[in-house]
Amino acid sequence: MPRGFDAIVIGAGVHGASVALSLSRKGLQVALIERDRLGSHASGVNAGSIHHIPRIHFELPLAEVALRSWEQMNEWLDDDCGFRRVGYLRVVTREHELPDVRRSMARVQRYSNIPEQLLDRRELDSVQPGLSEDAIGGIWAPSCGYAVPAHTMNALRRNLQAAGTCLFEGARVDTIEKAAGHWTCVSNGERWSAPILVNCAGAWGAAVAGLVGERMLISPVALMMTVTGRADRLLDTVLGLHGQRLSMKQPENGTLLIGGGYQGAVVSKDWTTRLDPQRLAYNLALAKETLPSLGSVAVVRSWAGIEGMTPDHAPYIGPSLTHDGLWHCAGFSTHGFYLGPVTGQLLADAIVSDTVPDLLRPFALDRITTLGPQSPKADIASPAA
Amino acid sequence: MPLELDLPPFRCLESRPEVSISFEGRDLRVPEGISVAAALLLHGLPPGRRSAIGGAQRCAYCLIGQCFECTMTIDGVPYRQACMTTVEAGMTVERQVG
Amino acid sequence: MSTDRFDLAIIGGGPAGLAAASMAFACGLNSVLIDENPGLGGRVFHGIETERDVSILGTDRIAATTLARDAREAATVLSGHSVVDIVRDHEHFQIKTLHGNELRSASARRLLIATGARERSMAFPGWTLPGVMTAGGVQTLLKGARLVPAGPVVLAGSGPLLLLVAVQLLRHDVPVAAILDTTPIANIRRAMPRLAGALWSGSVLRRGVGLLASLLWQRVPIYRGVNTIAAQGDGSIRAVTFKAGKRTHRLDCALLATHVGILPDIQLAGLVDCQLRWDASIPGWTPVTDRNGKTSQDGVFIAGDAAGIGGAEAAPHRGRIAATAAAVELGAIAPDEGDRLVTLDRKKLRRLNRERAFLDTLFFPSPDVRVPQDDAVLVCRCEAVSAGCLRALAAADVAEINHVKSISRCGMGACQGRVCGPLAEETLKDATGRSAEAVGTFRVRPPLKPVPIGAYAAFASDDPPAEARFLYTADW
Repeated sequence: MPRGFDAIVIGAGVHGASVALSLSRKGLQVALIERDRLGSHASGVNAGSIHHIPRIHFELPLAEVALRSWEQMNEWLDDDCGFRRVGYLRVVTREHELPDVRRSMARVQRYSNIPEQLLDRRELDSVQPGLSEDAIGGIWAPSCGYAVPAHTMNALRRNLQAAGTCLFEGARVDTIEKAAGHWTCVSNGERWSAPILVNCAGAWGAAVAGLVGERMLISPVALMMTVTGRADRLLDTVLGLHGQRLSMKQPENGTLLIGGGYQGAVVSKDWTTRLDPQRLAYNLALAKETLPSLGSVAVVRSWAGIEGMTPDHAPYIGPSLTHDGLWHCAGFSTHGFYLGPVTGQLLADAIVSDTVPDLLRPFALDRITTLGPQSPKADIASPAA
Repeated sequence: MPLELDLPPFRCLESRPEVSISFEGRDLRVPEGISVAAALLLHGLPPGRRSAIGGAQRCAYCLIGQCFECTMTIDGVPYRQACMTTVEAGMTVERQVG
Repeated sequence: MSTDRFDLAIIGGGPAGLAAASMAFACGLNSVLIDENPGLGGRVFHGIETERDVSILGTDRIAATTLARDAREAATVLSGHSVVDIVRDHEHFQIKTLHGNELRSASARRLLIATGARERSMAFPGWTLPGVMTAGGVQTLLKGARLVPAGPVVLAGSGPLLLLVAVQLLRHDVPVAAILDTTPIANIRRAMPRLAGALWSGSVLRRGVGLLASLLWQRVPIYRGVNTIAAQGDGSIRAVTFKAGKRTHRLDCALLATHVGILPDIQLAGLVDCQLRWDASIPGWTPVTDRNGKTSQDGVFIAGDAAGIGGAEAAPHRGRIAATAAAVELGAIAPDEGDRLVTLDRKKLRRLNRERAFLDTLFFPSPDVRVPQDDAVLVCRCEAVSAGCLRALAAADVAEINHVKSISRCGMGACQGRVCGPLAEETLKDATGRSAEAVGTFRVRPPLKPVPIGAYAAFASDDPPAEARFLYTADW
């Protein structure tokens, strides 16, 4: 006999944990099923930047709400999750990019109320001293910042415990059946059953959808991160580069986190990750070029986490196109952590009221069919070379 | 934070040619060919980091490159292991917080 | 950036690596021997190449100077090179080393890890005070820099090295105040059945008896069944307190040297994802290898103590066997020729294993040595994480060690868990009753030693990597 619940959430990353917590607090009996450990993949090992991505215009309204949600994390989780509103500075080093910079800012202004300012070189120095001579200006978004992923996931774990959510770790769902309006998930002989099923499996989201025959395009990529030893205060903001891949920050303990979306490799056999030394070296060289005083700072550890990418780099959020009682929330394509808590809360509302709020509508799954060229292999393990 | 280590200086069993290094701005004559950690212990000076958590002065513990208690800023580069680094004439050694 | 290519990369210039280099040469391999120390000899024969007068050293160190000389002729030697990363690139291993502040690169078709052993740490109140060192560390200072501490010195723990260091210090007129023996009395009874076999098989035991006689002759107090050790002092150690039997003692000292046995150095094995197993006889994590030192990873061999504690006497034999197996794999020699080359090594190893079984039983560390008893004691020195903090996490059902790491920062410092790993594992096992496999061991992340960002930058190409898939990330 399967254990009966009101809802089953597959995947205990930041989305699954947030949805499960919100549903539990609404009085539902929730089973949260995780293949490894709560927060052990992208949600727990990313760099925790909390800032919007101007490129995806339909995500900006959600981004604005998400930014606010981090300020109020204490109210939701009784924990600030390490959130610090240090601002996000996207440095511009190439004159020819200024038109794109203005377009980007106009897009943010049109679709949201997220404050951004264009800084000239002198203003840049007052926000972040020590930048390379190549820096000609930057976009300054003071309401952004960073949080600490491991800290956040631990806060979610505590709150799930308090809310009575049943967390099953190390349980890899291999079969999903539907009968008489109830979903039954099977993992290694263990069975859970509920009328509502939520797929929050992240990079594994397409595989979970595949278990019920629904097509979804999410491919796994391994993204590399580097942390340094403690250094004097070199960085006051979350720093990025316009038109290039770089992201860095220096949390309060003095270590620096450096990334920006450089890919390692996903081993297709078991989805473990490998670093790519050449790309890592380029990532660090670009960091040093941007902030020259980084040269003597010592790297102590690099790693890669698995992220699920969709073809248009926006997540799939909403009801299944093929089954009643099934919801998807996966494929956040490198911007899932900062969106996670608020998306989870909104999705829980949507599930209970059976109404998708405007903020989540743009992420509906029917986007798949309207998209351009897609890799036929995108929904199975196919690490980018 | 005083420079001296509260530990009685070690002594060297051999006389070797000496080189000069600088520790926190002070010139030291030390036997050539030995590690920075050994050189400082010989002078009763601390080969070790100051803990970023609590500020305590630490001191070389394993001397075989495992414990990283002796990480120091050597020639301007932090997180170098004093026990694995051989002294060189003109080398500058400073304590670091780590 | 040019990369030198070799048939075999031997990492570690101790007795296993040195012997492996000579054997690889004899088999016709072009090999590179990489070691982070300024000279060859590894930890056990540290400083062997700069020894002024080998005659005072005893036969094993004289034999080691020969090993080192032969290895220099047999292989390209990169001394002062710390291996910081290894990645597999088709048929080759790309080995990145840090030399001073520079990254270098070498490539090889086979990998032979011979990085030896590390000391198990004993954590007790005051163990982070200056003046508390490992006995191996004190010996390294003596061997390499020819440095001895001012006395009085107290030595605490268990095992032959403790006695050896005490005798060596006394020989150089360093006052030794006492030896605090933590060996559980019950171990002696358990080890006795293995004594006869051990007596005739190796030299450690016979030497140990000699050392003990020497200490007794010099009237060094030896306290048995010692527990509850604490280092006392403010800026540095001034005294050590402990219990022996029912009595509490206090001894003034300028240095406390501790030793509670050694563990395989598994950093490189972990880095290249070799399968590890829990060896309850040490107890500790040990790479899984076959009788030739071949690991679960194709092309990766491990020899000497890094493949499981066998001691310095066994290490050259294990090095030769692994090098020969690598040569057979590379087609440099025929399998039956390989077998013939190492027949004597295998025979010698079988004999030494009998002594090892006795030593492992006699010096098996007691639980109160493996697990810090006092909640305030730091387990992770780098990030200042206490035993109490780990126990609190264990009580909240957080006991898988990499999970504990992500929450507590235990093992996140520059040492990457080399020192705190075994302590944290034992603390979590003790607090939860879980198995070693359930608690696990720290994942190893590159670089193995801190590398300045500038060194990576010098290594990078000028052109950005082709990343057509996306432009902006938020979280990463």
